[in-house]
Amino acid sequence: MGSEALLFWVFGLVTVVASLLVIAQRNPVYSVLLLIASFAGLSGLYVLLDAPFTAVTQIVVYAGAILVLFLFVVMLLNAPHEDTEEDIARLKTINAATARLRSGPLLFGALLAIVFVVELLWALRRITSAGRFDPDAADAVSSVSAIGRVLFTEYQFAFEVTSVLIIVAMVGAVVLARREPAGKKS
Amino acid sequence: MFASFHAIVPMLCVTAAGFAAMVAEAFREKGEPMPIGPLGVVGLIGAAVSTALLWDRHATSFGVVTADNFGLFVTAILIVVGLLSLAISAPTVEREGLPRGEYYALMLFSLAGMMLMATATDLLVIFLALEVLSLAIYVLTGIRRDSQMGAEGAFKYFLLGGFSSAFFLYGIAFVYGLTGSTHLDRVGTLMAAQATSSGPLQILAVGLLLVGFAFKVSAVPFHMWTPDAYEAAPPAVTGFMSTGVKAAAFAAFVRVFLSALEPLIGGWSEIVWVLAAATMILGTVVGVAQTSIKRMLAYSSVAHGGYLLLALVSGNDTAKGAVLFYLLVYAVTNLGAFGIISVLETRDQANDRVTDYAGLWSTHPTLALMMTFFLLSLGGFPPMAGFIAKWYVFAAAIHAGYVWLAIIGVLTSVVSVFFYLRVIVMMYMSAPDADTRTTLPAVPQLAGAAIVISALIILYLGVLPTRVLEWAAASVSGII
Amino acid sequence: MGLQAYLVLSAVVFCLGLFGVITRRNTIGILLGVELMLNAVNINLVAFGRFRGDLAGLVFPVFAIAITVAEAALGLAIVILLFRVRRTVMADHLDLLRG
Repeated sequence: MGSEALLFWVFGLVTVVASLLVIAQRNPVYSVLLLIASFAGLSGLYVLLDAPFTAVTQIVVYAGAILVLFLFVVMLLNAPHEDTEEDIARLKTINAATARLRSGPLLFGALLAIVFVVELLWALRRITSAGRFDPDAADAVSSVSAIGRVLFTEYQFAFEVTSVLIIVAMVGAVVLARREPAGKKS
Repeated sequence: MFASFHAIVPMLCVTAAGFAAMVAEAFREKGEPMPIGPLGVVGLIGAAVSTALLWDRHATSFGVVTADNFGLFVTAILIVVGLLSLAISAPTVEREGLPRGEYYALMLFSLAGMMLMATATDLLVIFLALEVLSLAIYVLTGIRRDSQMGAEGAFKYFLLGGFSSAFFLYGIAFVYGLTGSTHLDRVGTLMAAQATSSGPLQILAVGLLLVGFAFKVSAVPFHMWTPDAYEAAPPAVTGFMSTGVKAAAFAAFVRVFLSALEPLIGGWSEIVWVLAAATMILGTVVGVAQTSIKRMLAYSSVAHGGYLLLALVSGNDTAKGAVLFYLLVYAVTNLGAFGIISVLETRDQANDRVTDYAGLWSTHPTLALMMTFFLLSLGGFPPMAGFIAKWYVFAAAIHAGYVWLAIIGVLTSVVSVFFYLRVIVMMYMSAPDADTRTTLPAVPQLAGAAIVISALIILYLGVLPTRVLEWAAASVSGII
Repeated sequence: MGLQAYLVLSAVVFCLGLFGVITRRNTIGILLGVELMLNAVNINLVAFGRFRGDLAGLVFPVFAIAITVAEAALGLAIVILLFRVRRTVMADHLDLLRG
């Protein structure tokens, strides 16, 4: 096994296990932290794919901004663990009914995800002609200046649309999350 | 050098109006009256003029936006949607004390996103446009910030939207992997080359895109939370999103599936067949059981999505023209109906139960008459425009050999008439509650005018549809 | 490693996200699930781009990340709004509307 394959397995395993724990973990703070771990694994994979720019973007944007925002909101709302004492008490009193209620979506979700995984694997197993790994192409795709040039020429319009998208998100987030000013504006 | 901007002028006008609304709100003195809604009207008129000038020009901008007649027809529908929505929003914004600048700005940005989605020819740009319009609409759904229902509806709608975005993006990734391009015409040629040996990966790509679109047009079984969002949002917003999102999403749906993915039609037509049948049936059957008019219209909107899917699966040129005409008729009718719901709402009471409409004929005769027009049009009664629209959709389906689907469509239409008639009977035959007489508010002029104009449009389209039908038919040739 | 390996990895992460969205009860947990789903797609894009030697596959994730982030920010704003008016972040307490 070459060192590249080894690294793939390491990063891949980190990503998958961390993602699994994000879902399984009932404490939102740990979930958020595990998501960072998962995205760090992803960044490693991007480096293996000769995409250092994507890797850095992923880390800077997610670990630097978004997950901090997530943590901030979790702390702000003091979001409780799932299965709090209240929940456990409720579980004890109406055990059977509640258990059935909780296991409904769980089963459905598991079933859906498994069906989807099987379908995907079945489809992906048959890929034959989607290109091959060409080490010489690395220079063509990994250069940040090339990405920058394409971004501002071929993708110039999409770039501008993204700016409108971000304005919408910003205005929207402010409208929804700000406190009602004392004495409404007339 | 400005030639390359031509195709995006309509959406530029609307975006500029959105920014103007934000700036106007920011520089407004406290308590100073500022005509922010009319700013939007100015932008929309600019968009309308540029749309008319672009007609038949086939302008292209940046290689990713094409103002072909198909896209321009949908843009025109969206301009109508925008004008009517602005008019029926005004009283709601006043009454609820909503943040005015932000409300109109978000509505206009969302409209610009819809226009972009209808004219974009690149999957990346379609996705960006979809996100612009969705994000704005999530916010508009929850814009009544003191409303518990509003927050819940916004969250559910957001979740559904994020979910569908993920599927859509995954689908785009596979299309890119298969063809090496996200541009629709290149995707089309390369898919045609691969169509003879279409493997599981093609099916996967198409399936994922289909799921993404099905969420957006709220097809069964992806409709789960649409009625919730429709019920929770202010009625003016519901009118806007139920019509505008449908128009934009179906325009992109037709563009992607009937041009770029047309070579794979054998792979997806059966799935869409099932979706269309399920959507028509479930939308109608569940709609019958509703007691709230808003929810009833939400399910009716689901069912109407089913009729549009029926046209989509037919896939011929008649069907594409029928989709355009249907979208126009549905937009005007639904906005009119939600306009009425919106003016009957008061600060404390939604007044949206079917029983609240008892005796509307004796308290607000004009409104009752208009509501009758809209409901009959939704049910597909002649001589309303809804009848002609359905007629063409079913004709296209039969022409394409989907007789069974057309039969399901006719049957569900007949059943749906039942729940529209229930409201009409309630309005004319029942006596009003003693207290409704006093709680029903006076009708604001602007919204009233918008409602009357909508009613006139559907009467006109119902009696003399030929000219608009010809436009619709003429604008479907050479999509991409 | 071959292209398949990357695609399978992406599929697994996507499905984990999907599973999370359906089963988590905490609204923030659900948002994290959506984040996982959207980010799984980026591996696909980068892998396709790399194996084709095509730059588009590497530019696309830049947009995808921007979109995901805008969506996450708005999602968190909605969660805050929800908490303010409903005093809960639990999805199964959201039953005013009969979804």
